[in-house]
Amino acid sequence: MSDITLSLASVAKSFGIVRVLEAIDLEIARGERHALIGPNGAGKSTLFNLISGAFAPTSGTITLNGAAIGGLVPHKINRAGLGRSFQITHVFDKLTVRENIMLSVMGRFGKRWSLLRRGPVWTDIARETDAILEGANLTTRAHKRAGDLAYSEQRAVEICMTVGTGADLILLDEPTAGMSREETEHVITFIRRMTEGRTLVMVEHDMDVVFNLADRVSVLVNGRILMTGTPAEIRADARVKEAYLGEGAH
Amino acid sequence: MDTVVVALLNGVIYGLLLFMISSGLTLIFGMMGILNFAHASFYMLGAYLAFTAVTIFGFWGGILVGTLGVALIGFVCERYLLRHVRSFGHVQELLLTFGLFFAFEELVKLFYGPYAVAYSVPESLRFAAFTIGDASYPFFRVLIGATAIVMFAAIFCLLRFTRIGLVVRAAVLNPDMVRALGYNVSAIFSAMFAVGAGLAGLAGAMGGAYYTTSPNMATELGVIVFVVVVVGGLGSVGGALIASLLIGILVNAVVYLDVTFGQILATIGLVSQKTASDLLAVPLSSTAGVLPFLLMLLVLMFRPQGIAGDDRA
Amino acid sequence: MKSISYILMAAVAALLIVLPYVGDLASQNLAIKVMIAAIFALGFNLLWGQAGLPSFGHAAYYGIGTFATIYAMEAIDKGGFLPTPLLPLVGAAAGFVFGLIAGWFATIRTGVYFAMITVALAELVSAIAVKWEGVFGGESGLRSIRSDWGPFAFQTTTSVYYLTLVWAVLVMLFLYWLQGSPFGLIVRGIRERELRVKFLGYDARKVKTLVFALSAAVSGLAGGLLAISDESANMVLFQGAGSAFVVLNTVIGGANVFFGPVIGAALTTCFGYFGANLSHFWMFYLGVAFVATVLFAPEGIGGAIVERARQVRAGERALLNLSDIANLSALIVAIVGLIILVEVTGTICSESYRAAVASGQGVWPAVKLMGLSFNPLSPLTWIAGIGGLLLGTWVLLKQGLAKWPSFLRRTELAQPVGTGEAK
Repeated sequence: MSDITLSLASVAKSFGIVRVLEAIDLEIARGERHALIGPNGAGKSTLFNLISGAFAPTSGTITLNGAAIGGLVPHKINRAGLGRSFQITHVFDKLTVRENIMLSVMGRFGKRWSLLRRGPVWTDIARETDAILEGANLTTRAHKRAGDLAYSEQRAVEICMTVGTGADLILLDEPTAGMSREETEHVITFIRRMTEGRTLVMVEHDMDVVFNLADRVSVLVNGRILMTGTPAEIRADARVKEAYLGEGAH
Repeated sequence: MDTVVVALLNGVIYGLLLFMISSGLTLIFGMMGILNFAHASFYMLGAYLAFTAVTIFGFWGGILVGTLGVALIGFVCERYLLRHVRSFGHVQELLLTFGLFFAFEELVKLFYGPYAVAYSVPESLRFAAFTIGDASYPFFRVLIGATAIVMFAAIFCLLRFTRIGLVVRAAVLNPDMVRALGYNVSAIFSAMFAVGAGLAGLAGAMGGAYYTTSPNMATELGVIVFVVVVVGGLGSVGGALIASLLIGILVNAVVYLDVTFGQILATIGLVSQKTASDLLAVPLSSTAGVLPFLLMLLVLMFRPQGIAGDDRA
Repeated sequence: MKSISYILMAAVAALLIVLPYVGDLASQNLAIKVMIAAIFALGFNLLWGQAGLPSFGHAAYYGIGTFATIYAMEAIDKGGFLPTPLLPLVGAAAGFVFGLIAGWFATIRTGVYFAMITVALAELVSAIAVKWEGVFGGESGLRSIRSDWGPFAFQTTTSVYYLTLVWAVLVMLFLYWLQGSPFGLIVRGIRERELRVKFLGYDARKVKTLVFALSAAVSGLAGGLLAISDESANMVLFQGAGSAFVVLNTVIGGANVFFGPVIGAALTTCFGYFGANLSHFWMFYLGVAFVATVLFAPEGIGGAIVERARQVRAGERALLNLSDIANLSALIVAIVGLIILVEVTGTICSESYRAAVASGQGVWPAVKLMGLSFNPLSPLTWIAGIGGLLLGTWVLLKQGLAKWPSFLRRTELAQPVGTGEAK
């Protein structure tokens, strides 16, 4: 297998007659932390949804670990090794934190239909779940209902769930949205720790987070990739400045 | 040939009656996200109110009382009951309308007993509109169809050409945005609910006189209306029209086919003649009640969003 | 608190075991009906409460279970080898198979569409049952008889009672265990956020179809017990009332509490049993009780008990205080007012009463009710009825009984707009 985890080849998406994305080519290497940035309406969310399977691409191919995943249903894409988080927190409010994470870990152990019995596999699941809780400093929260946690803790649970599926490609949709500066710092460290050794793709508005966390950055403008490069290259590029200043944002 | 024409006409008119009920249901759903189980109860209440008022105000007065009375009931249900549970989600709303459906049926039984009442078209309106071959076609049926068409045209014009209509259409698409623009969406909801209920009441007042007025008319029609809405696509008035006509015609046309299921299966050699005449002696015409549901299953398999539905819901 | 619930459960269990020795035949029959209704409601609640899928057509699977079991009883009578105690499994199997098919269709859509499809599917089954006399026996239905099995005789009501009791316990254990199993966890996840479950790698549609089938299987098992108890099956079983009652039982009892449906089933079955003799309009009262539950106690009786237990444990409230007594009295006043209104109205609207008025030259006889005579022409009657109803309701609303329990949150089951069905 090559060192490319995710590759997009001339991926395009239209809604009716509106072309949101055109000819996106992107390759993300194993272990890379990649950020998608761009002004509002550039197509970041759409691209994100295409990769995670919420929409099917109009044309082009999306390959994950060498297998085409474009247009597959979400649960199949997940089994191919992709986990995603949501911009708006999607934890299971009325389940406990432990149950939330257990639900995500269970998926990794396959043979879902034999899971009716709490066999030896079950102890593996429990051990793995507790390990994640431990790693995320959530052990004391394990038996609280997820809906009762503070917002930043819910975000942490959300990221744990994404990691818990055992996916080697993690998609994070604005992981620090709605957080204070202090919480953001905390989450960056947290993400760095939890996604160690995995490939990470994220959409993020906060440039500090992007430049802090990402190895490479792609700038999306008007449905095209304007450029891809290291944070330093992006910071220095005149076109990027223009795209942002031209939009009058940030 | 004549019978075919009559069957088709019957189907179209039954379909239009269905449409008077399903259009209200679908509009209310599009706007408020409420699936109103009690919508068919409004149809029943319209018939009973009209039946009661006929003795005092005459037939046309009865129709008017049925329509306005049910509109008022609808308004009260929305304003004082549904609004109370709105913030607790659609399931609670669904349950409430389900409970109302149950309670309305029992309420009608309380006043009028469990059997059909003698509500019928007055003598003065029982004449033939025209004849097809030897068969004369009753005027009142045509009137039901015409009423449905007039009502539809009126609502269409109201929605399409007036400023209130514009606000209502916008509220169907995005109630939050319309609220943000400073319109009183709650009042629009109540009014729409009342109009939808009134339409169902009108359908009941007219349909009850021609068909039968009994406590289980809501159940019988309610399921068909659900089928119409699934087939047509919830939230789409156009889809409701097409589906109503389709089902109306389907149900009425099959009655004129004189074969049994056994005969069909025996002809293509699937079962023996004996089984055909013993176990499967079910005449195809008696499947009129089953056909809408089979149609619904087919639509679900091949076009789950319905004829005119979009992928949103 | 926990010990109290254990003591309560032990007491109920003891009562159920000795019932045939202390109760008469009628009480055994009633207990059988209650247990069957409870199993049905528990099976239904697997779909409704656990998975959050609103079905309004569960009578279909119940009825199919009954008919399948009648056919199996007939086969045993003609020399089949199936042991009679295992007959309910036939109903369960039939329910499961039909549930798989119906579930496959219903889960094509979500939210309110799902609800409508279940209604339509039940109506389809009902329409077929009406037309297909060869299989469903038409208006007269089908009859069969219970056969003995080995040393076990099943001719007495007591034997049927114990058979039903054993099955009720088995079903409860099964459902309780299922709720705690990994599969149960996925199901609860679907109720909370189906989209998230999909993105965790589960085939949500498959899980929903399976849970639908399991729910239908338990409903079919309840139907099978009915067949054993009644030794008959009738197409009336398929009518909407059956589907409605199980919703009523579950919601009145409380869908989010495991024993909620059992409480609801016991209450409405007993109410139907005694109420039907006392009043023609007991169904109306049931409808009003249901609407009131949805409006003022959406977590049902079970939910209210659990909430109160929590408050007592947390020291927030006493087990019973003055305001409860005030509420209770207000409730009784409101109910009495409603009963006067309903019974008097219902009686004077009935045909026999109209006939009595006609034969009595226009004299309106008094309506006998609760040992009192109510003159329908006297304004006092109506003042008592309307006054009682309004006063009681007013006090209840003022007292704040109508307040929503704090733990009830907005459920996100139906999504009219948005990504409810994102592929």
